[in-house]
Amino acid sequence: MYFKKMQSRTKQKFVPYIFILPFIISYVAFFLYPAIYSFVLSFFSYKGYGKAKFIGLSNYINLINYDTMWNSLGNTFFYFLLSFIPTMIFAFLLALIVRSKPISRFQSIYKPIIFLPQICAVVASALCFKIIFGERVGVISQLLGKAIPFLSDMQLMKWTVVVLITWRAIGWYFIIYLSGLTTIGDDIMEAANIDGASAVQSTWHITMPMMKPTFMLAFVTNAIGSLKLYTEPNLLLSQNYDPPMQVAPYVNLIINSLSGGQFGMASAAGWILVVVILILTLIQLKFFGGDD
Amino acid sequence: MKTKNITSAIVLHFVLVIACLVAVYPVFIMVFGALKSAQELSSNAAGLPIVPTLDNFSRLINYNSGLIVRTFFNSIFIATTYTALTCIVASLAGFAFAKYKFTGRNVLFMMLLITMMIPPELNITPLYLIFSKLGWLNTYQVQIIPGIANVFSLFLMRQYMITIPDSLIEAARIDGASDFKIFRTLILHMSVPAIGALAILQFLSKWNELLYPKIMLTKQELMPIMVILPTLNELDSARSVPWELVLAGCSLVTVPLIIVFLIFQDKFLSSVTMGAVKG
Repeated sequence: MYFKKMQSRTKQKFVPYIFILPFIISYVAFFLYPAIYSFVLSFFSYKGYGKAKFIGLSNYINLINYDTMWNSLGNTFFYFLLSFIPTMIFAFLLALIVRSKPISRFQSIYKPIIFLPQICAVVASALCFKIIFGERVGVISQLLGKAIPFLSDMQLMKWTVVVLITWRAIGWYFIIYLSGLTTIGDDIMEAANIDGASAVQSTWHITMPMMKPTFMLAFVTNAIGSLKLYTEPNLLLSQNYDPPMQVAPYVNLIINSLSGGQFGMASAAGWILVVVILILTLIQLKFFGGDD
Repeated sequence: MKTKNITSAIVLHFVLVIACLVAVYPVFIMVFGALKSAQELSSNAAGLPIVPTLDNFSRLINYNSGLIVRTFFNSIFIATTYTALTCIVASLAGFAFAKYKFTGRNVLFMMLLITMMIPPELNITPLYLIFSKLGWLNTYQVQIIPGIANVFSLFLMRQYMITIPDSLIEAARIDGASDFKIFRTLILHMSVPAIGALAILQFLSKWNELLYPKIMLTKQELMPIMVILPTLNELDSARSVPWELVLAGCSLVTVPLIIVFLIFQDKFLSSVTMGAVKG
């Protein structure tokens, strides 16, 4: 009896480990081990065959002295910041409008339509925007009756990517903000109304502060997602994943080193991205996080 | 007061209608463009098709001896299997993290959360080297297995399962149910909304994937359709891109999903909100 009890108790102890086992095995094999491997690799020169040669910080130093690195990092930040601002503003305004009194009963019509771009695959939307911004077949060029070099002028090219990203992203954050607004509850807003607060006043003084955690979450996830940008600029701005250096995003640096067989360099470029994401997230937490 | 309310309602509706037009118009260009001939598209890319044709779709089906059909089903197979495995693995682990006290639980969980900051792009380089040594390049498993243990999914499942009352689990245990039986009959049952949300998010993210399969695969017949679509451009020559064919391909991957979305829109929209627990 005692023995049986002991046995079931030790068995009991192992149960949670059995439940997490499939996750942990897969996590270690396909995430943790590769991440450590790439960290080690970033201090080596390795061509994929033969012996890897230890070169210390050379990969990092080379990258930091490499103009293309800063250039592509700058491009990624351009795409991130310039789509971030309109995305967040439009998404929040649309959520406020849909949530407002005269509109809220039509929510179920507007919500899915505004979310629709998210259902469009990234690849399909990028290719479709290529036709919208195209010079010869382009929709805008046809509508205006003259060819505008959206996809060949370096400045305009970058803006087309911003438009594409913003178009896709608004629906996502719109839904997130809408659910954030729903949790605020009507009674608080009504109390503010009775106290004579105007819509703008109550939005600014009540809604915005109460939405802080939602904003925070939206900002951080948007930043992490945006720095990994790859598909949109590569499909929109090039035929063969080789957009001009002036418009290429940071991930292209990793991929070009990888395809060029410079695995150490590709790994170092990856770790620089990790550090950038880390710094950016910390800054955001400090700026918007406040007390928590 | 009343007229003021009506005017403001009209203005707000007007703003929303503009927003909806902006959201829908590119999809409109895609779907109607797919129904235009090359000739019509070059002069009328913006409007409705004047002479609608399904010709592009038959060209698409016959393209490169059925490559599009094949890769379309590759995509569905890969995304579905990946989604199913992710949901299973995340539910099992989520249950343990939500409802058991075990040594190392909190430390482990914190460590997992911290690694959420590491972008998967970092691991493309080492994974490429590992898989080329294992002989996994150009397989289906390379597209399905890695990534099924993702911390976001685990976190989502754990957050949801925490809300399941302990008393239900205790009651089942007193009835003599084993831990695994409790998981299978009680926990999974009660977590259906979370699993559904997770499945939608994971399916969409796998369906959208481009970079990873592009690196891991060179055999076209094993690729997902997303990698093939941009190369439709090079069918004839770089100078004469068959845009009508590209648009047909884009519609092929978009329209079925839009239909599913419209049927299950509440599930899709709540998956966004549930997914927002990440962070």
